Amino acid sequence: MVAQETETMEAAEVSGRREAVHYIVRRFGIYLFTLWAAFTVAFFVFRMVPGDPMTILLGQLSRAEGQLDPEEAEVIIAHYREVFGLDEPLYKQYVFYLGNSIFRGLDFGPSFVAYPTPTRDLIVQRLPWTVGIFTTSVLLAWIAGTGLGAVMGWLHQRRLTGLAVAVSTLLQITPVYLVALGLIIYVGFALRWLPPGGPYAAHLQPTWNWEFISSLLRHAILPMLSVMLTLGAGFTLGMRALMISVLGEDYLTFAKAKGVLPLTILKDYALRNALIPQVTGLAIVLGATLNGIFIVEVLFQLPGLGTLFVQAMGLRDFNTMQGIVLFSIFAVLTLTLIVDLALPLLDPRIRKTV
Amino acid sequence: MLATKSKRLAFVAAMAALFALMACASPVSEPIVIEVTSTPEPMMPAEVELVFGDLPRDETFIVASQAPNNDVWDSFNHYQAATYNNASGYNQLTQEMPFLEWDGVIYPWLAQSWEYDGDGTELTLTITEGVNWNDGMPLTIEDWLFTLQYNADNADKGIAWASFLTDIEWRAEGSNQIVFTLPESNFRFHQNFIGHIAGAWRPVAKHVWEGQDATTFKNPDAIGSGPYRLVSANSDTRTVIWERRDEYWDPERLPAPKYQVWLKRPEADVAVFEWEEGAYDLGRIPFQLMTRMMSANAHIKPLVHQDPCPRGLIFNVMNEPLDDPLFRRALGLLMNRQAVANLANVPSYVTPVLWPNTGEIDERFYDAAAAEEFEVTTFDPEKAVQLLDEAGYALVDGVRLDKSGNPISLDAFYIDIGDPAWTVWSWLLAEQAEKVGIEVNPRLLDIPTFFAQGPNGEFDILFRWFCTRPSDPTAMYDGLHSKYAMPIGERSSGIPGRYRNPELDAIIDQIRTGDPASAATQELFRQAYRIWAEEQPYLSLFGENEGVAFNTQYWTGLEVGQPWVHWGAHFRQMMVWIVPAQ
Amino acid sequence: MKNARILIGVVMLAVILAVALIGPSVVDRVLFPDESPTSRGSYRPYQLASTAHPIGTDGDGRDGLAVFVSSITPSLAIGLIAGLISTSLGVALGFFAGYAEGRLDTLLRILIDMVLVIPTLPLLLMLAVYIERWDLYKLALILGLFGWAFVARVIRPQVQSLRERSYVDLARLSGENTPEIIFLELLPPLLPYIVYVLSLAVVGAMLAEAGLQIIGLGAGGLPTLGFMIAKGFREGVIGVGLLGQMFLPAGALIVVFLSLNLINTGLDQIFNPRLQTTIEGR
Repeated sequence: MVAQETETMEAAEVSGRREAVHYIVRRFGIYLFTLWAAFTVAFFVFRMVPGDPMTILLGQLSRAEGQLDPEEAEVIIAHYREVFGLDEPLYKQYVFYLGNSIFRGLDFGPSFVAYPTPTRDLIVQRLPWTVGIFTTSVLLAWIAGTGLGAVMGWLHQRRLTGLAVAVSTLLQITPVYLVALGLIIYVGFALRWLPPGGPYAAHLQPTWNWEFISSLLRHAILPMLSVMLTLGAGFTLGMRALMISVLGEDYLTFAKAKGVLPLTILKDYALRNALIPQVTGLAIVLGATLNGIFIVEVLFQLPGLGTLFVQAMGLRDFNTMQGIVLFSIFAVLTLTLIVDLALPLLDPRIRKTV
Repeated sequence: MLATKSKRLAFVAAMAALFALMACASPVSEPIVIEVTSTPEPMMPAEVELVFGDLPRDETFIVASQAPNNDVWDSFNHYQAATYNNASGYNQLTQEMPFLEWDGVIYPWLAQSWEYDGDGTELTLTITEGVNWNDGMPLTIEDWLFTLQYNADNADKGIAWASFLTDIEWRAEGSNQIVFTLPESNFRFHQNFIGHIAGAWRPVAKHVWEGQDATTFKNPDAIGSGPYRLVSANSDTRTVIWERRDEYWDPERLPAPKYQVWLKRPEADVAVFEWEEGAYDLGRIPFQLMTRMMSANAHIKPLVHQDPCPRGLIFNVMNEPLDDPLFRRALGLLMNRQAVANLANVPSYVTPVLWPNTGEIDERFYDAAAAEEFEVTTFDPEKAVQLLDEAGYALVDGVRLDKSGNPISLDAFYIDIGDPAWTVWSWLLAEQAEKVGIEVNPRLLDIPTFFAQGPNGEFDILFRWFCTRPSDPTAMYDGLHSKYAMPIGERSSGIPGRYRNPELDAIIDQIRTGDPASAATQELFRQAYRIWAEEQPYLSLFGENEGVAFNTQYWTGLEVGQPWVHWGAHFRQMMVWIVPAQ
Repeated sequence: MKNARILIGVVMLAVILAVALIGPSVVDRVLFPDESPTSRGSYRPYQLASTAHPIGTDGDGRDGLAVFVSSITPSLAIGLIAGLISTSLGVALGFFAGYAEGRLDTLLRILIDMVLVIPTLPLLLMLAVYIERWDLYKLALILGLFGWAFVARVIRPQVQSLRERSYVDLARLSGENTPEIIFLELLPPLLPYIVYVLSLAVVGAMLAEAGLQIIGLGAGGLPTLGFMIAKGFREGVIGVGLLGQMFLPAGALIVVFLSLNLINTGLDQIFNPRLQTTIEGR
């Protein structure tokens, strides 16, 4: 520290900048590597799961097209195995798939869930629902939860806070399925305030008119509320716990002794420190949006990615599964990258170690 | 549920909240609010109740399907494997079959009759004239010939009802007959044109399909010969709306509902409320929810029908001691079938044959003496012990040993689709087996895994259903042919127990070339039944009854006892019975 | 007041434990003296609540209440084992990654990120086939092994941040070695958070276990709370009107979580006196 002060300002700045660039480049390299590694592992894991689209097809044929001749079924299966490239050796499938994903504009091949719609189109179709409803509500839940949690941590000895903690603990651990179902039954059916399900009124077609948009908004409220209630409670509790542990630290006592205003302490010291893990938590939850709360999509009949993944899993639709997982891996890792790059801004101490 | 007063209050509050929530609500809701707040009476229904925008409720038939994972709502191509889902109404409302079969009777539809020559190498099919497509174009023999050629040309494209045309020649005779020349004697060729529980070969419109790819063409206007035409299809809301066309070619069989809406119903917990509100007319719902629905809405009636596929248990004969027929019979005696049948969602029945039978079994295909002699449906643990002892499975310290001296332990695979009978059999079997010193380990599989493990032969005891037709139960034995006994790990498209029996193979081969209506073939069927009963490569478990919910508020005419399956081709016939409620 | 929290928490936990331990035999003796209410097919399935079956019968033809009370012990065992495994693994690796620098940290971070982003369902489906005999411990182990990454991911940046604080520098200067710094300086301030994460992991495992049973990773048909909830959802028991079969198991999970949290915050207030000073200073 003493040495640093003696150095000229410029030199420090240059070396600092170089370090920063070095850090960013290194972090980006790690990011790319993790992306590839996670995708590769996911690819092979999927292929090791028992069953492939065609075994499911055979099963479905045996029921849906009751008297279909076994030999005829074999021909059908052989065709689709070829369409989905399932007869190639695994490594060839992998190389082909990776190549297509990177060099042919995320061409994941045809989907089986909605054959012959290409997987890419299917994902593009479903993505707005997941992003529009779930990502938005996770973000809102995070903002509300973090704010509430900070206040609750700050005022953590008030009686009212105890009650708030009890309520949020209750909400956090109640299975989201029950929260959603409760809202559907009570708000949707008993009170008739809002439609109990569906992305928008079933007879409408997506157009930019008020009838459609208002229908869309009305249908979005309950699913968003379900997610926000459960996740928001979790964020609140997490933030509160962090605040309390930060508040217990010496430097805050020290700051107070120095006569720093309580609000300044909250803003500049406590909040800032407690936010770090909270931001990390956000990145994780956002990434888990896909599989964590797909049940909300199912209950509210929203055509999102979560439902699509479950459907694809049920049909062993590898193309769609991989497409979604690739997307989800990309989203989580990118968010993590952003968080990692942003954290030093929040906490100078981490910057120092980089 | 709630007192009327509080309901009204809540409604007002709800409207107020809605207004607060969105500064300007949709213009439609404004007058309703004023009406509600100003009059003390609950909301009076308008003159005509409208659903799905502007469809009069009493002219609309709403089918709430339980669509499978395939999520195809805007592609109307029955050649695509993924479209076999029957959930959009396409197959039921626009795709008519040459013939329909229910309860053993065959009804002419797009075709009138068929005739074999003496040795079964030539078939003459007479088609119905005056038929039209739902876009108004006539359906002629040209369309039939086009489709036959189209299917044959695309047989390698993975389309159903195509490979049966291999090596077959056909020619038109006049404007209403097609003569098929078959390479060898085959008295089942006509079955390809009969819609039973599901599809059959059917003509497609030449002017629509010509030049189109068989598996990727979406047939966007859902052209077919049925009485409805497509209004709209939405993949987001999973709803398809159909409108009746009044120029349909057979006024006698024109369905009553002017509109039909086919949609994917929500999860059972939510759907039950939709049902109570009368939002649907027909649909599958887990039957345990019916009691509550019926007490909440007196219009809802359960319709029970027989599932066309009885359930059974397959033994993997590659695994010791399941290779021993006596051991398999002993396991059969340990299976309390009646208890399982009673636990099914809709109480079901025990059957000694694996084809659908409405109470009485067709004796022409069935050997009652063999069923009795080999006790194919009996629950008798004492007899089982006796058989096991006689066959040399010694009981040592309470554990039964196989012939190499190892304790017997078997995995019993089941899947859980929410029907107790599908899961409980394994636990009941395990309980009984434990008493005689055999370990049976019930294992739940998720459905796709189940479909992989089964055909690959990676199981000891496997639950499965058996689909065959009562007028020709060949499929009950055909899957046991040695040609399907693949090595373990390779997919078998037959009954996957790896059973081999040259004697049965010979009988199956004869059955396949014989005419199921002839006395000689029926004698072969009875011989095959006797072999099956003695060997028991698989067990008959129970025949299942299924229930669907039917809302009689707007439509009636469907009754218990009518022999149909609403999710299959039978729906076309059901539509004729449906009449408006008064 | 702080004792009250601990007291309430302990009482709640004790009640659950009591129900878990003596409930099954009480229910058996009082309600079903001559029957076996938890063997499948004993009764007609889906009977509504009555005096004979206080919360009805379930889809397998068992008495709901008897199934519920006998579900608690296995669930608690699975939750505790899995929660402890995932939390201790996660904390250890999180500390390791947070405190280590350079290549090791990078490797660990890649590992953590990968485990977090690869969907677990297919992995579990794979295991369902390859592992033949399941028991409670295998189930708990699997759950624990799948849950650590989340813990590690939230602990790591906190450790990173803490280790640069002045009081840690001070400790380092005063000659404390690494284990001492970790256990004496870094762990204590994070402890309440870790216990909170633990309680989350315990209850999370109890819930997640249902997902495993549903896809066939069941512990030989072991009755558990999570499975009861998942099965209830699949069969629509709320729609049937068997509310007890959904709310009792969900309630039990909530009680477990609440009591663990109450005890945690109570203990925290006693053992974290610095907390008191800051508040009283306000």
